[in-house]
Amino acid sequence: MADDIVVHAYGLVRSGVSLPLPRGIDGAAVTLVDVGRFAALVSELSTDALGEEQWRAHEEDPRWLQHVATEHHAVLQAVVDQTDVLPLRLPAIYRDTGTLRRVLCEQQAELEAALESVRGHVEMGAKIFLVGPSAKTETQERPRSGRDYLARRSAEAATREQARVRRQQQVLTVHEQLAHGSTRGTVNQPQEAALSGRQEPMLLNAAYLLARGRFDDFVSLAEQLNADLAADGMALEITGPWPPYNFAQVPESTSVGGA
Amino acid sequence: MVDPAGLEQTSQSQPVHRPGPAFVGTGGRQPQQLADVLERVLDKGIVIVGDIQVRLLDIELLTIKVRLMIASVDRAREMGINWWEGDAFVSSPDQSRQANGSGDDRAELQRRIDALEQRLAQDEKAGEIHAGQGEERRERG
Repeated sequence: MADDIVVHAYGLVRSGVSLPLPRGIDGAAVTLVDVGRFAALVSELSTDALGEEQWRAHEEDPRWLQHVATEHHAVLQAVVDQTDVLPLRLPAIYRDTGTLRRVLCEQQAELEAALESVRGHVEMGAKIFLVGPSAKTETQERPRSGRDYLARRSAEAATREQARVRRQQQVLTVHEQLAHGSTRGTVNQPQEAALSGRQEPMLLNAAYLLARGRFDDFVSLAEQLNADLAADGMALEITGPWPPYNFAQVPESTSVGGA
Repeated sequence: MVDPAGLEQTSQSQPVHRPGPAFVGTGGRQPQQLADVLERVLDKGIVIVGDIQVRLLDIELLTIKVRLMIASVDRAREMGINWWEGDAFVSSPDQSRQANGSGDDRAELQRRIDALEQRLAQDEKAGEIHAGQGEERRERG
């Protein structure tokens, strides 16, 4: 009977927090596996639904992955609205709660440090898109000579390059300011058009670890920065609060084997 | 009609979100972009290695596949992305609908193939006649 069950772990929360637990993947109950100062949020699922073989069979199946990812995230999102949570990367499956408890105990010190590093924090996402027309030179009259044509072309290229450099500096400045307004910041690869679903080029794809109490300040800062960017055909969009996926790491200062 | 099987249902449960000027998500109550969710859930988060290990390959390609599955097919086409039409992962669940979905192109191709085959058949017939005439001449000579 036990062979038919797999343990799916969503994330870690501090022990002793009382929170109404949401329903998990496919409506499964979410329970807590307590390990000292923290507890793992888990669901026991049928191996037929989410076992190792299912993962292997569907590891490139967009429909299946979308379903699992969305439901996994929904649990973490519901939890982060109430308390701090350290999200686990998918797939996070274990044969039984005993095994999970054992691996959590083995890394207890590191995981405690990782959970502590997001205490009182959420994640905010920020993207900058190039939405406006890029600065174009408007001379439409025909060039008088080949030399004239070449000179014009090189002037246009210089203007474009200047605009590009200027935008790059603005993007960096925005990132600096958002990072300054938060505890930590990280920059990810801009998403391709196919991924973002947008035709506008993405110039920044960043995430920030934000103290819960600074949320309103962060939003007003973003609104102000967005207004500044608008003049140069760029738009800043922020999302969140998210569970701190981008900051769910063991802090580097934590010595390995400290447990 | 152009959506591959079941896409409309999926996009209803995860509406494509058109963001305002600056602030998109509010307290997790508004729908978040699926691409953002996947990017985080499959590629970020802490890894706690246990007794079962499944390693997902190429998260970017994977997320693009998922994104395309829910994106409007027309919009993806506008972006010049159409490789999923020949991709088993995306097009296999309901081949008949998919075939109808890109019907215009396929019908046009079929029409041209038919026309070419007809011409080929005519040419072959004509060729046989010419060859036959040649042999007649040789016999006489």
